[in-house]
Amino acid sequence: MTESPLTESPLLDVRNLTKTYTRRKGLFGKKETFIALDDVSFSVRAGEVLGIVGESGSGKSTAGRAIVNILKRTSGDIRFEGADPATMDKPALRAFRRRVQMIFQDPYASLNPRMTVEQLLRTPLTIHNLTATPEEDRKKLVTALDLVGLPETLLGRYPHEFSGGQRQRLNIARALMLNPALVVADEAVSALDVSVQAQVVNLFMDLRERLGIAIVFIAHDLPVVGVISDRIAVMYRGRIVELGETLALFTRPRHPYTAMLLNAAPAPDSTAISASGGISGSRCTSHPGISISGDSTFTGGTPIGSTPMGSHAPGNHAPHTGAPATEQPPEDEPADVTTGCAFRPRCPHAIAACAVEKPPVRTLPDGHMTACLRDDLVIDGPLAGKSPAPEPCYRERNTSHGT
Amino acid sequence: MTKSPTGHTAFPGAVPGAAPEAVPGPASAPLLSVRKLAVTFTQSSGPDIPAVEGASFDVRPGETIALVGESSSGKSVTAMALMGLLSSGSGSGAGPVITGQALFRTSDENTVDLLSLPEPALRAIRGRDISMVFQDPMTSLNPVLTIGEQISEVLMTHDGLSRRQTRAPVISLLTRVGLRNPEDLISRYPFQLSGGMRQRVMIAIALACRPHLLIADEPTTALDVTVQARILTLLRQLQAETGMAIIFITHNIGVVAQIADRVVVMYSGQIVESAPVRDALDTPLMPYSRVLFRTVPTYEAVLARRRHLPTIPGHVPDPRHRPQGCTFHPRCTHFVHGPCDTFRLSPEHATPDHEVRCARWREIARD
Repeated sequence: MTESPLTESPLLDVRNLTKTYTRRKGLFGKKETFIALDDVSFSVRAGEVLGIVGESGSGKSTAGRAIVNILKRTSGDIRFEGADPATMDKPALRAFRRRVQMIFQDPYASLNPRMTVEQLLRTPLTIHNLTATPEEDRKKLVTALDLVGLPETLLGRYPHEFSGGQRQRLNIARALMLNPALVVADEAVSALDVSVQAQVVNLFMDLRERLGIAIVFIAHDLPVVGVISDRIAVMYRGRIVELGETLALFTRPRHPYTAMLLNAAPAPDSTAISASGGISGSRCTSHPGISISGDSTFTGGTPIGSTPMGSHAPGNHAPHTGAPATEQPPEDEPADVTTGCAFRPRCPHAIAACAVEKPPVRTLPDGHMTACLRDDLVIDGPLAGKSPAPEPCYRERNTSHGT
Repeated sequence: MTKSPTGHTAFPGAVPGAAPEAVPGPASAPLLSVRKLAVTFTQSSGPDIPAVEGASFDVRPGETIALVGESSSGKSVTAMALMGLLSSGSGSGAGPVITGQALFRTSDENTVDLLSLPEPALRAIRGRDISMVFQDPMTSLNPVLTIGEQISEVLMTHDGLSRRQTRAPVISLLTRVGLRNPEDLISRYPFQLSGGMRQRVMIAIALACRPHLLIADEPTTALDVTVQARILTLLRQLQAETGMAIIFITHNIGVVAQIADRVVVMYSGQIVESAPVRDALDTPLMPYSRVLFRTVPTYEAVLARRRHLPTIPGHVPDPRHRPQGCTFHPRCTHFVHGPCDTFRLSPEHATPDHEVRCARWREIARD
């Protein structure tokens, strides 16, 4: 990433984005409000890759949909190249839709089965009145296919003739037809086989390199997001709990939830299992500050003052003394929390103050942002003590054009 | 076994008299011995689809086998065949042809061939001696039955308990899989539960009769990483208590490293490598396993950010038109004409417990 000076205005600037859904409980019940996005702020610079990670229900997909303006937000401000799509007039909105493209998770559902590749790729041009002579259009189609590593001989084929990886390449090619400045990729590689997933991740990296496209890369797979992203936003229950440079976040996560996510992703490294054979024992001992289970450390650990934990009080299971903390059955679902930090019931570092107020987002001197009250925590991430490799760990053997 | 012991009380819902004594080590006689399993789907029009071609492997008591492979490698079909869930059924002639042998030691010490057992006998084994957990917890529970009814059904079928008698074991099962408020949960319906909770219920059902073998087909793939970690911990813990063997089907190499004793790699309908977990991950011999394990990004790969991940060029071949010889040869960097593209190879023993199906593994291992 070329370091853009802070004075340069970002490509996309999202401020205090909030999305709530209301529903009535039963026919005459009272209204319930569900907060899908809670005061979310972030920005994306031109050519930058911002990763958004979180569990299901964390609001990461909602955030993606709000950015491309296919979801009406409740409040907040989204500025793309300085203008808010919600207040744009028709021609401006049309231009916005051209400049911002979205790629969805399911490569099987996102291509019209009755259209040939040529028709699929031509449609964006038609919609935006960008068609020129047939020869020039065809040249554009071939260029787009070439960018994603597909041969032009496929133009007459139908989506069902392609594998999942090829279809996702087609989706990407279609998004590229309009020369977007920003692509929002929502779990774009999650449905793919591992070998194909690596090919598509490489393709995204190529596109950024060659076309200077900014990407919002939404996914739940942390190593994948880490490989591709310049910065990563971690979401939990509708809020961004941490946002920072990828290496900083993986080396020293500032929010306990980030640490928990980083530690929960199973890694095939040789040292993880050989020592104990147990599943999380060895990994946890290497990161003593981190625990993956919810109530275990909680019941035996820091008391949280007098705040009730909802109807599901932790400690329903008597702690099994002697067993490692992570060995005992953890809670199934953390109780809903309406006050204070939403992560508090699962957090091994919770203190009484966490129950009182929603932790504000703090910006550290290095620009790293975290929404955790505990500024005294030092948590080692999986990359703690490891410096960036001067030489590539891997040398690509093949730039992988999946036939 | 290397799993950490836990001091829990006896598992509920146990078949009287069938509680295993000391758990035998991996060196003991196999619990399940699969030989030359082949599954071919025939079509009334079009070529046959050989989903599995001659798979052979053993599962010992208390052992966890990870069956690894990408889509269409045949791993799920293998599991379904063992469970007897692939019967031709409709009689339209479109059913699969299953050949080979799968010798299984039942809890009453009989040895049966799962592939040739008549349906009633199979039904007695299924759910009691062998259980299965499916990938999708959203669709594998019956939406119109309560959680309690679905778990007690297993106990009523196999242990002959009455509904009333099953209440206590059902509650303790739910507790065992780490669900809170089991008394409340038994009257709930699946739609009221989250994905992680449903998968725990599925595991509770699978474990109700204390099976000797659990087949888990991608049980954590649809779940969040933190929930996945808890489910894996739970499975290991339950395995340590009950001594059951697990066939764990997955494409997640990280999960393999955490749960498996032994790794069986499938590619394009064949077992291409089979080895103890550390050998398989650290010194794989088959070129496919070697690259497969490297394509998974790790945190170390994050350090080399924005450098290409290693990939396998090309894609898994269409089962109807698999290449001659080794099915991996069109994608293989070690390919040479002759040995690689002429004959289907048989697996060879590299060491007594490390099998590989590759014409050139000796030369490759020397690199």
